[in-house]
Amino acid sequence: MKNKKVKMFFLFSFLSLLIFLSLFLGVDGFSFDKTIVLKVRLPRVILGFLSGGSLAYAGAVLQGLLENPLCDPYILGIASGAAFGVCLGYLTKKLSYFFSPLFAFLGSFIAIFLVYNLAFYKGKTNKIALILAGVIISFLFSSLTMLFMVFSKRPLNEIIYLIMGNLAFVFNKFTLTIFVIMNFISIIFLIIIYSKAFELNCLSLGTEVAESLGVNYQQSIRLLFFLTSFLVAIQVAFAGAISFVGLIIPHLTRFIFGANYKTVLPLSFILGAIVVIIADLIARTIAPIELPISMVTTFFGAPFFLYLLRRNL
Amino acid sequence: MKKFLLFILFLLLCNQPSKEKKIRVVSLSPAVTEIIFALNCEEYLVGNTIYCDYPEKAKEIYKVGDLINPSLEKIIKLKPTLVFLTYPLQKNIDEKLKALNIKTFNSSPKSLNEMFQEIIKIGEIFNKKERAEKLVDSLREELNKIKKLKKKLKVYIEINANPPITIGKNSFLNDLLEFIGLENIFADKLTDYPVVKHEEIILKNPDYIILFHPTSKVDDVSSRFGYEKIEAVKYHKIVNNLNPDYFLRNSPRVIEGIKMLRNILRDEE
Repeated sequence: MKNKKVKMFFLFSFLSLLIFLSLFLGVDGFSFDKTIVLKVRLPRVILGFLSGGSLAYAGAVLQGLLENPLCDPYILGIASGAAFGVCLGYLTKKLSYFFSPLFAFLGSFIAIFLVYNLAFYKGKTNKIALILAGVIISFLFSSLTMLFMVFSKRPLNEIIYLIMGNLAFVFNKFTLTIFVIMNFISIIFLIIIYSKAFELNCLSLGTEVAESLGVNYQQSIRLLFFLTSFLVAIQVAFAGAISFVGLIIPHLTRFIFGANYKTVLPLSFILGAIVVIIADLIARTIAPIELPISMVTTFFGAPFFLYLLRRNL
Repeated sequence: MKKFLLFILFLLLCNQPSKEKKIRVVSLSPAVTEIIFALNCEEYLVGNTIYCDYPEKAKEIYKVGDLINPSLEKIIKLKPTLVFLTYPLQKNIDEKLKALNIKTFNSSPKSLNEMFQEIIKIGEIFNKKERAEKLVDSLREELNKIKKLKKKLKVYIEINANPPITIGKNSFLNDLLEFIGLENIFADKLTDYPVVKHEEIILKNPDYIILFHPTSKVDDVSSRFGYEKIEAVKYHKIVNNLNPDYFLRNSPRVIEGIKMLRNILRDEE
């Protein structure tokens, strides 16, 4: 127990150090320009913190809920839905790009709605139905996005970067308002999910075990599906589909802190936030051109995770 | 007598197809399509892409596909004697066409001067060198009429808003800017279309911002957090009414583009 507290203390101090570094480190070393630090880097760090954290959090929930170690937050078709939503936004030619988070969210919402209707047919469902529905909707929306990409005569950098993940979002008053509202909702969702940690512990042991322990399986799967989907949809709308974090961080957390969801959930959040902030720091300082953040998370994350896996086997 | 006349007519018709007529070209580059039309050689153009939309008549020519993935079958079916394409975008297609024994011509000028040379080369292909030289002379004359800026103004070109993408040193547009006397704030980037950071834009503090993404309003840029520090935003020097096709395609139209841009900067020294 004491060991755990030391680890946690280490984690939090590392996070604060990292936030400090991200705020003041730019492409040409340290800089303290007030406008840049407060208006460009601070939103970026906050975006990285919330999206990284939420993605890891959602990944942890889905892996337990669906009893599948390969689940990541995008398995339910949310990222593909978001990309499709941005395509829809392009069709309404007059709107400015500040509306694209709204369209991304709309796309995700359509995806969630369709998955729900596919998976919860006649009111009951099982895990496999949910995963399959998610994967199928994901493919469907990817194909629609590709169709759009082929036929559109506009450069589609925004969609490509949405699929790759991108924290370079710049806010104005309008987007900031939406961002604050949406994240306020997502924090409420985070808390509700946390209150379901006991159910998640039971569900990760299998449906029968959970039901014998008094968990209402049908109700829990429905509630958790909705909460995590919206959590992810909100993050993807602003930061795009940052890969790897939602898949690996929950495993990493379990390696270090054990499999109890009461600790896995909050610590996944912190670890996810740390990893995305580091990745963003690398992505925007290491090369003269900004790298896609998913490339950084995967390139540096995969070997590190393999090393951990080797040591623990 | 009638029969004899018809026979003469028949002979005349038979002799009509001269050597020139055998040229059949496909253009996979909208810029080359524009050059071909400017040289009045469109009769030899048998295929182009869905992006070839200028002049209006270019739209009527048989479409072989888009820029990245045109249909090889359609190109082969047209039996072209030459296919125009651009590097690096269409390097793959070039290799495929060469493997199919179809001749290609790579046209990727990086500056105004290279573009003029390119026009003459394309003229030579159609045996219209004189016409091409005449066109280049008139374009150069038009260019020389344009007054350059005395004071260097810093300019930020935005091709895409989220993430911000601009133009680097090696792009054609960079040369145009230098011609007028504008300084591209990202001329230190070596790639053609680099992704840049908002903090770099704020730090480099451009005097002018030119938006080349359609649908964008001036307000979309000036309302961004942190941008209020930029000179261009302070003095409302954000330009969003220029058609990107006039600047991003290396065709004779750029001269018009430069004129339009100079007209916007008319109050500057």
